[in-house]
Amino acid sequence: MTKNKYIINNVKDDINILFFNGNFLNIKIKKKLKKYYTIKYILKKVKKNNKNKKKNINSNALSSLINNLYTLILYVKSKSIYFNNKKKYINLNINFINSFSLINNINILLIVDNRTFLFIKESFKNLKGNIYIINYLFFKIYLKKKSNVIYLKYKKNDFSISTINNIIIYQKRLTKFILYDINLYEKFSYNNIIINNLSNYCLSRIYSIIISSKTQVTKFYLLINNNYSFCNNKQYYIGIYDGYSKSILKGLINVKKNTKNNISYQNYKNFILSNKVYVNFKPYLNIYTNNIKCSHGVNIGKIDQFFIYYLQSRGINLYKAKTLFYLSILYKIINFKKFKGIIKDIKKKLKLILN
Amino acid sequence: MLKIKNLYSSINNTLIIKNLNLKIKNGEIHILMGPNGSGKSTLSYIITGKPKYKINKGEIIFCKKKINELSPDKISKLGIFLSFQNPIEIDGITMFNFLKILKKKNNFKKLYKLCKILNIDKKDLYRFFNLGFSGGEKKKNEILQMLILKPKFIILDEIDSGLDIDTIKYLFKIIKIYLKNNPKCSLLIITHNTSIIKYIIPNKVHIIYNGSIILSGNSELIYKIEKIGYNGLIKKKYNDKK
Repeated sequence: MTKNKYIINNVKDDINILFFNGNFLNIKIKKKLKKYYTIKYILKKVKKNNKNKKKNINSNALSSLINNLYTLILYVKSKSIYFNNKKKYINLNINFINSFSLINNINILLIVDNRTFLFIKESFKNLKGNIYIINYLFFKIYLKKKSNVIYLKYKKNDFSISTINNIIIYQKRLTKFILYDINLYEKFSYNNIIINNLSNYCLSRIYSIIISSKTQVTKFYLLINNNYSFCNNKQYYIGIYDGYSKSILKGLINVKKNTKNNISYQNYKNFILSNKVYVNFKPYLNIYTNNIKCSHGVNIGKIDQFFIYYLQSRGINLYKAKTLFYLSILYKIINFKKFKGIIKDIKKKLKLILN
Repeated sequence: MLKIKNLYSSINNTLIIKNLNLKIKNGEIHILMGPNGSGKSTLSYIITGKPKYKINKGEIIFCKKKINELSPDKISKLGIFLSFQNPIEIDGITMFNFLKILKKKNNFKKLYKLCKILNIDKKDLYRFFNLGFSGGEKKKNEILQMLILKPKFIILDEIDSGLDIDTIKYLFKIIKIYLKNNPKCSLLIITHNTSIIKYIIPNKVHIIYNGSIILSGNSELIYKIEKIGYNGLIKKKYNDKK
């Protein structure tokens, strides 16, 4: 009964996938839109056959990927659905529910077909209450030609679950991948993200917002491999830290030989509210070619006092002025019109820290 | 309206304002002039309560209230407005949203009317606050905020710097209209520029030097500054004392 409840709760989403105690349980697709999609899913791929071994040696990256062991392989293909001349994104919601297992291993392969637009969300539920649960999530996403994927990593309510994310992205020609990573309450968050460009004209964006307090720890490891030309990668990271919180980041961008016109950019901004915060950021660039644009920068500092004074001189009180300062920086990188609920939660968290 | 008595103030243990006395009555226009680094802008910051500046001695009284230890937001709510020399840029918040934060009653219609008065393009309301604005546009934005907040006491910190003659004329025209509509409102203009007398006639002119007001008089004092300069006036004053 409990399992079905959570599926019914998320009726708005087009596709709902349910993982119960680390095992795949159910997939539900909206009936009305079913004719537009073709969705296939395979459970726990069996070991490779010896007969096919010869074929696999010469096959492409996708076939070698499929031959691994997964809890779920999901293949999504959509016919072109247009609303007001804009292509509609398919909403994919992945639910993780835990009742008795404390540590879960989940291994997913997602294949997004040509010209398919996908919006991925995550939601977590801990039925054990306050007992701490760890999810090891290995998520491989393969984007075929001209496909777009937006991935929102945000935990709304449950703070007793932490996930160790290993996300590997394979991008084919003219694909777009956008990751929003928002962490407000998670005690320990670990992100290991690898982006591989498999052909020219790939675009990727990573937007991270971390507002941490008390003893929250965040670790972020990023590797972007520019194997082909005309690729565009940008990463924006904003951190606001209070209490004894820790944040560690290592970002490496590789630009390989014989590539040209690649654009890579890393921008990290950190604001420290207490003296006991630990922040260690190391951006790296490995460039083995000419004719590219690459840059990286890290700022670690305190709030701009003149900014606050200006706002106060207009009759805005200190608390409001500080929140405006942080929100203005956040609005710069994310358009919160898409995610209305998140901005409310961010304001709540800022209120906790600034008061 | 505003009384400053024996004011001593410092920043990082260095005295900047020394024994400064100033009195501005209701509906008066005062001009504060002086050479670079004499403490004109710092006086405006001290009046509006900038936290870095410490008041060591003396008091500032506004509308019979001591405002020495009040925070800048409370001072502005009492009715003091400071138009900044270099206003900040807010990337991420539009002009319209910012003006709505200042006063929740602001409607589209009201703002559009004020924009028309100030020759501000309507589209500018949907741009990020002061981001990529020219010097003139930023100053117009400051005056727009002034018209919205309707203060009792206005400090204009170098409103004429970096502006062409036409926009200076136009801005002072609007300020004059505002003063006409609010006859109790008084004005303190901080400037180096002696040509300001063409646009507005003050009740009093003060010259600040080394953190204290050394001379004050009528608008004729401005003509003297034009003839002799600040150094000439200061030398003359000290020679007269001897």
